Amino acid sequence: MSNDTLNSVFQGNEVSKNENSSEKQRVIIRTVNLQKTYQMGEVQTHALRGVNCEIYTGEFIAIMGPSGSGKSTFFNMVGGLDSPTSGRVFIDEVDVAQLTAVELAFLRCRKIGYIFQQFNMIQYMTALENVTAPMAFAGVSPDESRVRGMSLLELVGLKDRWFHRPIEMSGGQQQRVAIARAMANLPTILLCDEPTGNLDLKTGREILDILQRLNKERGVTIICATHDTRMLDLCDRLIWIRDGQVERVARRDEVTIEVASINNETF
Amino acid sequence: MKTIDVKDQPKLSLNRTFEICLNGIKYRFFRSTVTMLVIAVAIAFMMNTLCEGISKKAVQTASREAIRQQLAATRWMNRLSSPITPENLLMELANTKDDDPLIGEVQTMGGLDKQQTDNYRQFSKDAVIYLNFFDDLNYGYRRVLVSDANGVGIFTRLTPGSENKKRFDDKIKTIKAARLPQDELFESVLKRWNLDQPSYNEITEQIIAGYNRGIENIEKTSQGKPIDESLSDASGAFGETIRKIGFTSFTPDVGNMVAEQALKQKDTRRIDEAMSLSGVRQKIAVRVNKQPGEVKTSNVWNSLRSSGDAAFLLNAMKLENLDVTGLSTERIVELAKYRRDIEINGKAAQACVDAGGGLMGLGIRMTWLIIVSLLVCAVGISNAMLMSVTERFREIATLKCLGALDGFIMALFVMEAGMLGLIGGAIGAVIGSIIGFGRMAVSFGTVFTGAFPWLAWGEGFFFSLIVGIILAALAGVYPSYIAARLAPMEAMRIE
Repeated sequence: MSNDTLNSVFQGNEVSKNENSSEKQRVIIRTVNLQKTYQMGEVQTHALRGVNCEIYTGEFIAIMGPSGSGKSTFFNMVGGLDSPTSGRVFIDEVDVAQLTAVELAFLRCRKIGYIFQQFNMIQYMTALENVTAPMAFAGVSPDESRVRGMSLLELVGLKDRWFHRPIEMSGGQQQRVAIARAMANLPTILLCDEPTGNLDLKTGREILDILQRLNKERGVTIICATHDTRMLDLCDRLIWIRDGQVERVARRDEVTIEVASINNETF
Repeated sequence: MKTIDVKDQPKLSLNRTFEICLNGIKYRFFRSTVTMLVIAVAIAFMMNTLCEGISKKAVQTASREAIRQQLAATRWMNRLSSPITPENLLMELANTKDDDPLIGEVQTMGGLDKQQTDNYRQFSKDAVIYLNFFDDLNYGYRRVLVSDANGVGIFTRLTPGSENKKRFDDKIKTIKAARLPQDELFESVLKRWNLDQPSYNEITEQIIAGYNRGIENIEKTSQGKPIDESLSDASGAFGETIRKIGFTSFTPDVGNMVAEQALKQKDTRRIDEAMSLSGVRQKIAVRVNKQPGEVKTSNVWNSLRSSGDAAFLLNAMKLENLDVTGLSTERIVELAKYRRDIEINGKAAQACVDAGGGLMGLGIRMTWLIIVSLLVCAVGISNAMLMSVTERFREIATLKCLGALDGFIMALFVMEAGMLGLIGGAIGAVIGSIIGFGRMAVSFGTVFTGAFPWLAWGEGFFFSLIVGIILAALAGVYPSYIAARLAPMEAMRIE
């Protein structure tokens, strides 16, 4: 996973670090009074009760909260996967609720990448086919998508396993393929829902390395919902959500994080 | 950093969709097999019935063709020996095509000119409608309407302006079941029959008189020989004579055919007579190891299959000093086959009488049965596809996250259903054909295999395939609609 590989993958869409810092950071995701209520039979569940937040380009955001706090719901809203019952979500000043289904598909395909806790691989496709699927939806030619897919797999260190099916791969490998898939169309936003949740420590570290490099060198905005302290250590801002509302927003340097480790780690 | 400019997501090409769909089927092969079998069974049922219908039609056509010659010969024998009735004349003339030689014959026999013949032909077409009407009418109603008049006698009875006609007009209004087709045409027919100058009644009599004269002439020429004897020479001099007398529709082709048939019948009769002689029967009885009284003519014919049997019969006939000119072993075997075929054809033509109506030669009841079974099959497919969709919620949601359009998801499932329909339909069609044609071959034997309807079967096969695909695809529309409408997160939430 050298710098060369990273460069070769992102040829044509380069954003250097200098450019990033010289450009004024603007809001890439803004939510205004986001509310979501689920109706299950007669019971109404208020998942979100008015969330206001702004996320800037190139940030590494961590969203934390106890289960049932609406963290996942907020996450989905931000990623364009779900629509709020009231309030608005602006992705780069474009109101997601105003988009048609076709435009939403475009958004999900090109501009936002998703990484899930349960990998969500398509079982009957090989690793390469999984990675090139978003490219196929984006209209990239099969040859070019194959080339790019292979370099992406090399980026995550799975070049030799391109023909394996998800069932033949371990959790860590699947998650790495998921990252490669998420980066397939070089999105500007990456949404990670507990990416290291199902992984062991070493693999988790590798994943974090990749994510950090993507964030620092490529300026990809990464939004994570996580409990992993190592990931919290990497991020720029932390958002706590409780009971459907933002409880607290803090920058990294305002909080103290102790990353635990085991002496005698053999892996 | 580039701004996010939101555009429309392009549609995925059909190839790629197809690829992805194919992958999916390979992966879920077992469950797909079950769905395919469901389709196969329903299509097999439909194909089986179709094949029955096709076979019956084919057999009917083939046997009609085979018997046609025999029937034609018999018809001519009647024509040349007994007077023609007005009803028969009108019916035959009404069924002619524009180039039928019968038209010329009628013209000659009746001494008419071209215009009169054309008019008469048109009249026959109109009159036959009413002849058929009165023929099919319930006897009770007919008695009420026209007393005991029959055929053209009805036309004569209902002369326009007569008492009988007035009574008829009154009576027919009261009988609901007897609706006269096209009242004005009927009036025209009656007028032409009775009141024209010359009336068509008179013209008919003229024509029939001509035919009767012809028959007399034939009798004179054949000098007392029975008509079927003379007809053996129908392809030669006798045929010429018939034509000269005025039966111009007895063309040389007809003559050849009639001659052949007449000869076959003559020879068959000779052998039948031979078999009834006690000497011959005794010998046959010895050969087949039965009592002479048990030797029936039809059984002997059925067993005359090899030239050995024929030679034996020939020998027996010679020993009885019977005239065996023209009878060789080959001839006897040929006659035996001819006789057997007539029996089978007769049976076949009879058995297929009810083949007609409905779809491609099926009955209405059968068509309904098939439609119902196909509907049940469609429901089954729908159910299977819904189960498939439910199990693949997560996968569908993931695809949507990756940018799949709703239309793509729908196309994916409909294509999968369609492919299952295609393969299942093909299997079902093959099985149905085998079963259907197998049964038909068993009941109809050589008559069927001789006239195997390849083209009709091919059409039926493609029809079944198309039905299979369309049925499966339609059955898959609802489940795929459900799948396509899924919001990605809802799906993931459920899991």
